Amino acid sequence: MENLIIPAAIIAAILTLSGIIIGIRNAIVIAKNRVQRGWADVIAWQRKKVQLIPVLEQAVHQYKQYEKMIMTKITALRTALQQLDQGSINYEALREVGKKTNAMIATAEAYPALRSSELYVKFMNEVSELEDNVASAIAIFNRNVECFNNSIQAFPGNLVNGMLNKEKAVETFTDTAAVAGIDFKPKF
Amino acid sequence: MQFKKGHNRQLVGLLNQVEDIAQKASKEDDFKKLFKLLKDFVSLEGPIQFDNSARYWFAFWVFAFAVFFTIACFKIPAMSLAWQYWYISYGIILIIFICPFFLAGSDTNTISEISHYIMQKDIVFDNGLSRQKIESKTGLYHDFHRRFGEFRDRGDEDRYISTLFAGNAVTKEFCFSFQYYIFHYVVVTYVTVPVKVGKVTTTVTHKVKTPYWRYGVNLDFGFTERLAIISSGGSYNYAKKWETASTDFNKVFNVYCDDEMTASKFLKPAVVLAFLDIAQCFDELNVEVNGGGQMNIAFSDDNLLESAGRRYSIAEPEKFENEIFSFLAVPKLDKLIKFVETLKKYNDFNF
Repeated sequence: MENLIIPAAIIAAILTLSGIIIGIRNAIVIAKNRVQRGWADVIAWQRKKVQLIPVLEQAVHQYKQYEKMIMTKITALRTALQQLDQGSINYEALREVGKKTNAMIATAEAYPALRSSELYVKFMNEVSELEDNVASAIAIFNRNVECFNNSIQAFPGNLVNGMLNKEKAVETFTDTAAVAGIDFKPKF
Repeated sequence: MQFKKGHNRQLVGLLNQVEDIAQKASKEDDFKKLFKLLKDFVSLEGPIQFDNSARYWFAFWVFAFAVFFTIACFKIPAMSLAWQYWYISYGIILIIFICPFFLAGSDTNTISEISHYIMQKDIVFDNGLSRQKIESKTGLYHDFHRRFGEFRDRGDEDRYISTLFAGNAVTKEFCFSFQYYIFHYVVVTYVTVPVKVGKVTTTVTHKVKTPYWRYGVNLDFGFTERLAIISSGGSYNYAKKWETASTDFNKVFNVYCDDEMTASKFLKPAVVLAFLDIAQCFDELNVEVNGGGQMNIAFSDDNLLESAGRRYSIAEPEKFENEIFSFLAVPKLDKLIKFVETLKKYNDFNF
């Protein structure tokens, strides 16, 4: 009986360690999947703009003199939205959609007659809420990226990642246009 | 400070009158009579504080007696027996010594409690709330129990709605009415304690009743139904559990729904962040929208109707009067209303 204690303790230690390693490995996988889901949500929210474009087209249709200019911007936005892919993280494509959205809104805003249209006002309310949700989805995505990076860089996750998962850190999304407007740049 | 003879007795009479007026007040203007009484007292009788000089002198003489007693125990042989039981003697002296301070503290506390009561009542007036009469506290609990999972599987006995306020919120985009309730329940546990009777040790089971309070707001929310976002307690009868894309949100809340699309539509990213923000301010937050489109937001914080903090009391009538007749905002209630506005904003339809 006493001879079995040491082997039993060794087996128990091995099983415990294996359980811990499996737990950490699975946590890294879950964190990675959450990053991918977060990104998919960002794209899904950006793509909702496609549903709103017909509303703007309808509002603009009454104002023939502005129609051509705005339709050019709408076409550019549609093209940029088509470049978004839920399956792969592409920050440049996301930034391009942001630029095209702002360009379209800026063009529409330049015409007071259009701005006073009731349909246009409702469109702008919807776009504003959509942009809020896109910004929130990006914030959630960035936080998921932070959690994932922590799981593969902090000890003992970095050991398990080096042996098993072999995942690389993901970069967070930054709005380069907004960053350009700030004088202070921290050194990391 | 010099006080008039009979000052304490006059002050007790004043406090009783003030308390009576405060309890009967149904609007802020009713407090004007109260402050007139206070200001008249200050000008005729003196400050609104108790004259504790007699109590402090009594304590001083008790202390002097203790010193004399100690010296006597060492110098007078007949006192040596008393010294053997010094712990009893000093225990009695200490209790007598503390009594005047305890009475002084209790009287000061009365002034503070009345001031706090007046402020709480004024907060209700300033924020458009009105206390509702509850015909049957247990009956109202049963009604809430039928409508919301928050009230199910909570407590073992003494479950009732103790207080109910009605209010109206006016925000930039929405106007809505709501009810603020306080829910009381008791959890019964049984504790086994060993008891030695002579040489035999037996166990005795004691019934321990622990009271709890939950607080919450009910309102109409017609934008979704059959959905619960829960961080603690209650019992919810929904078919599915759903997770958002947010790691932080999923650590704090569980989402229950009949249909995942309903949950997905309600918990937009902006709404998820709003939940994370409000969870910093409210403990054990639960939000449910039932099948009738009624929303219940419940939490454990008992300070929803507290303002930034009372600075003055009835002891300073003029300053306290200015404080009462200014608008007393309640940051936590404002935060909750803003949260509801956010939920409505991102769930309504602009077209």
